[in-house]
Amino acid sequence: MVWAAVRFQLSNSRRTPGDVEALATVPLLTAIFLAIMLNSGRDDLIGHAVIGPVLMAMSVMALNVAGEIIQSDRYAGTLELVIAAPANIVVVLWGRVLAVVALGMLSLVEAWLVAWLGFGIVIEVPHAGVFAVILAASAFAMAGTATLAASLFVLTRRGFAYRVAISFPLYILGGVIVPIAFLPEWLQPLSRLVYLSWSADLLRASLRPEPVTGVALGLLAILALAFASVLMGRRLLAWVVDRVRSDGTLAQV
Amino acid sequence: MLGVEVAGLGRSFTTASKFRKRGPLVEALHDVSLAVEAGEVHGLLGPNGAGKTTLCKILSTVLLPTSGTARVMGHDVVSETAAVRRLVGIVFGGERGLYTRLTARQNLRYWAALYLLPGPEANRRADELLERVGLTDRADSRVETFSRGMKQRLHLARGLIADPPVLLLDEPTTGMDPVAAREFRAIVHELRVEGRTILLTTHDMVEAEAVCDRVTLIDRGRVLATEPPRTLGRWLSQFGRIDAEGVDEALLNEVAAVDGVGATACNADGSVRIEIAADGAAAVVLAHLVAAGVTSVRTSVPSLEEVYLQLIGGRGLDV
Repeated sequence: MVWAAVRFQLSNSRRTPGDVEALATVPLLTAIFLAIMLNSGRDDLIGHAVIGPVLMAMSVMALNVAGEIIQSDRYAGTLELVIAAPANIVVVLWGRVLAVVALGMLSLVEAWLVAWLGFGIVIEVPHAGVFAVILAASAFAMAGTATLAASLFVLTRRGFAYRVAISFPLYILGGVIVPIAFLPEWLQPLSRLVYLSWSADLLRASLRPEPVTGVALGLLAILALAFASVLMGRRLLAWVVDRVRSDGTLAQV
Repeated sequence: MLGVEVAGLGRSFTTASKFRKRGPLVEALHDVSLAVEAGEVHGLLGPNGAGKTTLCKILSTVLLPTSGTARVMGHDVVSETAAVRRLVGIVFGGERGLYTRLTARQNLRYWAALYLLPGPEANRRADELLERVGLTDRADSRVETFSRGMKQRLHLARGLIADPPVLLLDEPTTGMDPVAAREFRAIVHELRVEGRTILLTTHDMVEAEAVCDRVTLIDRGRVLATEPPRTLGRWLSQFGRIDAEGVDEALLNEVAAVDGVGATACNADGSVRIEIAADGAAAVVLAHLVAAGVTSVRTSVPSLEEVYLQLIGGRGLDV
C-alpha cells in the first residue's frame, strides 16, 4: 500500500508543480544564510546555512502536500471514496507525503550548488553514512508529522492558515533557522520534542571533521518522535473521520 | 440473504449559517425501510433532494445514520464498517471522484491498492476493467482529456476494481448523452447477469424502467412505494403529453372533452399541449388530431416531478 501511494503521488506531483514549489526558495535562502554567516566571519556556521534551507524545504513540502492532498481530494470528490475504501487512510497519507519529502531531497543538490557556484565553497560530508541515515529518518519523521497535521486539515477547510501556523514554530523550535542555543533558555527543552532539532544537530555535525557523538540517541529520538506522530495521527484521524461522518461535513468544499 | 437491508433509517443535518453555528434541523431521511435481494437491480427513484445520495453515503459508510439500521450482505454499516467497505463498490455520478491529472490506468491501479489488491492482481484487474468499459485505447491518456461518458465508464471501472458483490450507482448517467447512457445501461445488465446486487439511484423513470427489477420511489426523505418497473411504464404512458401545431379552438375543445385528457393549454409558440391522465386516452387524442388533418404532432413522457404531482397531489399513492 505504501509503495502504491508513493508511486501515485510521484505521478501526481509531476503534474502538480505546487507540490515542489518550496524547492524554488532553497537557492535564495541558502544564499541569504551563507552571505550573513560569511560576512559575520562565522565560517563555523556554514553547515547551518546549507542544512537549514534543506530541512525547511523538506518539512514545508511535507506539510503543504498533506494539506493539499486533503483539500484537493475533497474538492475532486475522492476524499469520500478514499475513506470508503478498506485501506488505512493514515498509511495512504503517509506514503503520499513520503513521496514528496523524497522529492524534497533535491534541495540538498540546490544548497550544495549554491555554496559551490555562488560562494566557491565545496561542502564536504566527512560522515556520509551518518548524514544519509539521519536524513532518511528525518524524512520518515516529516511524513509522520504531516500525517498528524492532515487530521486537522480534514476537520477544517482553512488548511492553508494552519499549515503556516504550524511550520514556523517547527523551524524555530527545531533550530533550523537559528541554533537552539540562541533561543531563550526556557524554550530550549521544548525544542527536544521536535524531531527537527535532533535532525539539524546531527546533520550539521556530520559535515564537520570531528567524530559525531550521540548518533544513536539522536536517531532513536527522531524515529520515536516519527512513530509517535504516526500513532497520534492515526488516533486523531480516526476520531476526526468519525466526527465528519457523523456531522456530514466530509464532502464539504 | 439480502444484499441491502435498511430499517427505520433516519438522517438529520443541522444547517449552519454565517451567524449561527447550529441552524434548524433538516431531515434528509425519515424512517426509510428497504430490502434489496442479493442479485437484484433495485432502483431508487426520486427528484433532486429526495435523499437518494444520503442513503448511498450511509450504505458506503461515509455518513452515519442518526437512527435506524442499514446492513450490506448482513453486515451493519456502523458497527462492521471494515467488512462493509470490502463488499461495496461505489460509483458516484458526475465529474467528481477521479484524479483527472492522472491516466485512467494510474487511477485504477491506485484504487486497486486502496482496495488492498496485491500489485500483479491490481495490474491485471485494471487492464481487464479498462477493456470491459472500452477504454483500453485511452488507458494511458489523462482523465482530464476524457468526455463525460468516458469518465463515467472509468467511474464504473473504479467501482468494480475489487470485484464487489454490491454496487451503489448514484445517478451514474447524469449528464451523459443518450448513446453513452444506453451503453452504460448495457453494462449494468451485464453486471446483473453476474449476480451482483445493484442499488441504482436515478431521477430518470425511463432508466429505472429499463434496468431495474424493482423500483422504490422516494421523496423528501420518505419512501413512498416499491413498485415493479412495469408500473413505471404504465405511468409513463398514462401521464404522457402531446404537443401539436395547427390546432384550432374547436378541435382543442373537442380533444379536451375526450375521456382521460387531464388538461389542455396553448404554448407561447402557438402550438397546444394536451396532458394525458388515463391509459388509452393518448391513442384517442392522436386519432382525433390526425382525422382533423393535424400532422405536426409530438408525444413525450412526463418528468418525474409531473408524475409525482399526478400521483401524490392528484389521487394519492398506495403506500
